[in-house]
Amino acid sequence: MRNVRLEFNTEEGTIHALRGVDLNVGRDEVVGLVGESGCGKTVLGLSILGLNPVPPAKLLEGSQILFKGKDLAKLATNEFAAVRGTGVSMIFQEPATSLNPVFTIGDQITESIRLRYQRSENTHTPSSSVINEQVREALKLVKIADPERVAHRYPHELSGGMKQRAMIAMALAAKPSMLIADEPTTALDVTIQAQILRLMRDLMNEVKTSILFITHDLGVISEIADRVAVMYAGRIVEESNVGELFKEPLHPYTAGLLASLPRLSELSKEIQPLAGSVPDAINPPKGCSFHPRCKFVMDQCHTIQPELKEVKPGHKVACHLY
Amino acid sequence: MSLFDKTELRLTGRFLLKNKLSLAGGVVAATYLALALVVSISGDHLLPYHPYVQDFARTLLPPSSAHLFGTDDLGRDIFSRVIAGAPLDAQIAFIVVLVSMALGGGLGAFAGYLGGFVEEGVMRVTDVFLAFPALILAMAVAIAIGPGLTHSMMALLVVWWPWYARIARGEALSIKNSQYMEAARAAGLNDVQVIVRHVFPNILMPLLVYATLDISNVVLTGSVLSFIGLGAQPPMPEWGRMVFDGQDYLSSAWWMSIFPAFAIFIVVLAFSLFGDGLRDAFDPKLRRR
Amino acid sequence: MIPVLVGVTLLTFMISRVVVPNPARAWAGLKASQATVEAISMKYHLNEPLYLQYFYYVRDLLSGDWGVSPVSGQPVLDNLLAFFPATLELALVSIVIAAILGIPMGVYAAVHQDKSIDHGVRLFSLGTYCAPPFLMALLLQLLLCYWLRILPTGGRYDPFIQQPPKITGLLVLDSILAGNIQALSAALTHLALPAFSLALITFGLITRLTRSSMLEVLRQDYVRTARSKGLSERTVIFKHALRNGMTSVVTVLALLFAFMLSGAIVIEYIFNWPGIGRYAVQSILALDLPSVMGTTLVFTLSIVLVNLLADIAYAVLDPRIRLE
Repeated sequence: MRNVRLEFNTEEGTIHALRGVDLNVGRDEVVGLVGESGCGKTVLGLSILGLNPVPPAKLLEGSQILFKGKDLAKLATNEFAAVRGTGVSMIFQEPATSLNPVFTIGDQITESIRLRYQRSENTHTPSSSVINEQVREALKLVKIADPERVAHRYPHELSGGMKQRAMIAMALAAKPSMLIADEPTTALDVTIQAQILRLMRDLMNEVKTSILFITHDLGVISEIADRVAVMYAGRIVEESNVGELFKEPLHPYTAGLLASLPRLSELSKEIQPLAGSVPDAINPPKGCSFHPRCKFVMDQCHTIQPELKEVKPGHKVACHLY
Repeated sequence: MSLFDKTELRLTGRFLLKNKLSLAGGVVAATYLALALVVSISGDHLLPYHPYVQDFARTLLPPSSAHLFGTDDLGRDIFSRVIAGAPLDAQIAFIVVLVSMALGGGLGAFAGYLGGFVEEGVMRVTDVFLAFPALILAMAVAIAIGPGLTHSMMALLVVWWPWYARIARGEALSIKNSQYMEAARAAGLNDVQVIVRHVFPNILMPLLVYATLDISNVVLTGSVLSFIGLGAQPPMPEWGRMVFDGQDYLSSAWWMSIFPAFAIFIVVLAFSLFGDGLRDAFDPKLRRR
Repeated sequence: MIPVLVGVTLLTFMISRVVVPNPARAWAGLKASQATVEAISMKYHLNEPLYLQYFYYVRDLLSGDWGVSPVSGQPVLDNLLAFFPATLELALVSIVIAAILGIPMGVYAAVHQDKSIDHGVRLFSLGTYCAPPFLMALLLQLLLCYWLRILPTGGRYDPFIQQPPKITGLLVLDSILAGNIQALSAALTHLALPAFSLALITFGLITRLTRSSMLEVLRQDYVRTARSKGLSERTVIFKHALRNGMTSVVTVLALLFAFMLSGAIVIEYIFNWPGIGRYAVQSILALDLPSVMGTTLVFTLSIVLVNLLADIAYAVLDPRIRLE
């Protein structure tokens, strides 16, 4: 993604959700996208697939979303269907409401499988027994113990963790090149969360799909991501690989986030929350949008927006300190 | 949401103004009401022709400059009769809606607030009444007590009160355990006092919004009731009855039935549009959009 | 459901025997002799306590004695059964027409919310909902029957054509079964205008409800998920969204049925269709209380039945309900 800018036209004003996002996701990579609520990370995920409702949302000129050589930003609404599912797929935060309540799990996974066949070079449609076998395989892939039984169940009959696994199975059934995971564990309780994360990590080894993992939880990022991008007020402010980020955060915001995490090894230390609050998306601060809350604020921070630059190998940051 | 909150009124007003169709409906409805008022006060004096006097020299004349809507089989000017009939449906509609709101709403509020047997009982009774389609129950009551305008109004009252009881009960339920109710109870007020002083004012708003939409329903049902013979009796110029009387002459004098039927349509449409707009204006989700 | 049924009979009982100022005369007939009036009084136990009267009333209903029409001398139930098939045929055809017109319009309006087509649909459905039932029926009758003369002005039968043997009571079906093309064509031309007028009355309601139900559904997360899977927009709307939207339309079909029966009263009278609706109006004009009460009861009971069927259909459509 290069210079992706998106705004929402509402009655209260124009919401600048994405203000120039630069992000890369390579093959077989898990890239974590971290940020507070309201920073635009979900909107970013949705805009890759064109899922933001288009009358209020508008992708601005100069935005580029390059996927396998095609610029998705130039696609009309009805052209997106071809990319979705088999190219890029998505799983969502609330599995309870994201699965259609009137169809069985098996039916919903079958849809994805049929779609894959339709779009591939083979013109013959596989028989239903072949498809059912693949549905079972898909469910086994996400470590569901009794795939036959679950395939005939309706979403409301499954637990939260199972629903999320089913959704992952459904998203992967079309064999997409990239999976966008939007806060998939946030709605689950902690033990299930750990299970799902472990599952996704294991899946990475089996399936050739890169993942863009969106979350607000730094702890989750450390578990699953290879590289991390930190997002603030519609822009990426820091990007590096996981270990590097936790050891040496460069951007004051990242540092603040890390400092506000309680750590088992340092129980006696006081937690230091970040001062200030999330900026107003309709009227973001001029210059560097973090400057009202930054401990190291300088004159130019008020007027000039810092560029995302590589200051160390593999480590980019957007800050005037560097 | 208090009835007299100035900001609420201002936002509502602004929203209504933006929705032109609703506004048009409101204007037409207001004109109709004004007309009805004028006619009921001034009687037949302002009408071009007397609505009851028969003139056998002028029967079944088509619409012309002398008779805007033509004349009927007894030589009466239809335009005058339509105007003369305006207050009839308005009276019925307003009385039915207001009394239903008062009695039904009151009962529902008590039921919702008190809960237990009272609520069960009232709800069961409304269930039974609501199992009948409005027209059909009104028809049954009206045939029992006899035709006539006041009787049809009474029949409509019997049919209409359960809706308001239902709504009032729902509203009362939702505010039953809110903070100011707790405060009122803590202050020592007994149930009746709490209901009268606190529940009633707060459920008034949603009831009023529903009532405005309901006026059109009552006018519609009332006119059909007259059409099937149970409402106003001749020679009263009630619109539904006029449509019925004109049926026999449909092929030769279509104006007898069609103009009164259109009059009903316009009034019902006006109140519906206005009521829809009013309801949307009070819907917090829609307003912020 | 049982308490509602009991309540319904209780209410009709109250209207028939208590609300009526002079029940004996009302049931005997306005022109009946004093002797007949007294006989009726004995027959319906009108001098006994109310709870006993109610007991006899229900017993009579269940045994098929719904009273005798003082106007025709016929038992009310016999009349109702005779007129029932015509109303059934009319109602069925109407609801099919209304659904075929209304549901796609509602879906279309929801998908293109706030665009001019949506406003057009909303206005049109509001217009048909607000128009009194006799307005459109009379206008159509005027236009097509009297001025253009392409359809008969009323009635159900063509007196010059041989009627097919009565198997189902539904003329269209019976004509098909008997292979009688002439009768079929006559049946259809007579059915056309009443059915269409009745459909117009209810179609507005179907459109409005489908639209609001679809709007609700299209906002749901699972619709977004379906899109994200790469399904075509048409599949998303007609498979994923509509299926969920239909559950509320089904519950509404029951409401619609009630609305339709009320409309049938007017339509049948205008088009001289020999159904229960016309019977009701004729009875009103003749001040025939027993017949009117009979129609009230049969209409309401069938609505309660349809509501029950709707509940069952609802459970079939929405798996979440089935567990209850």
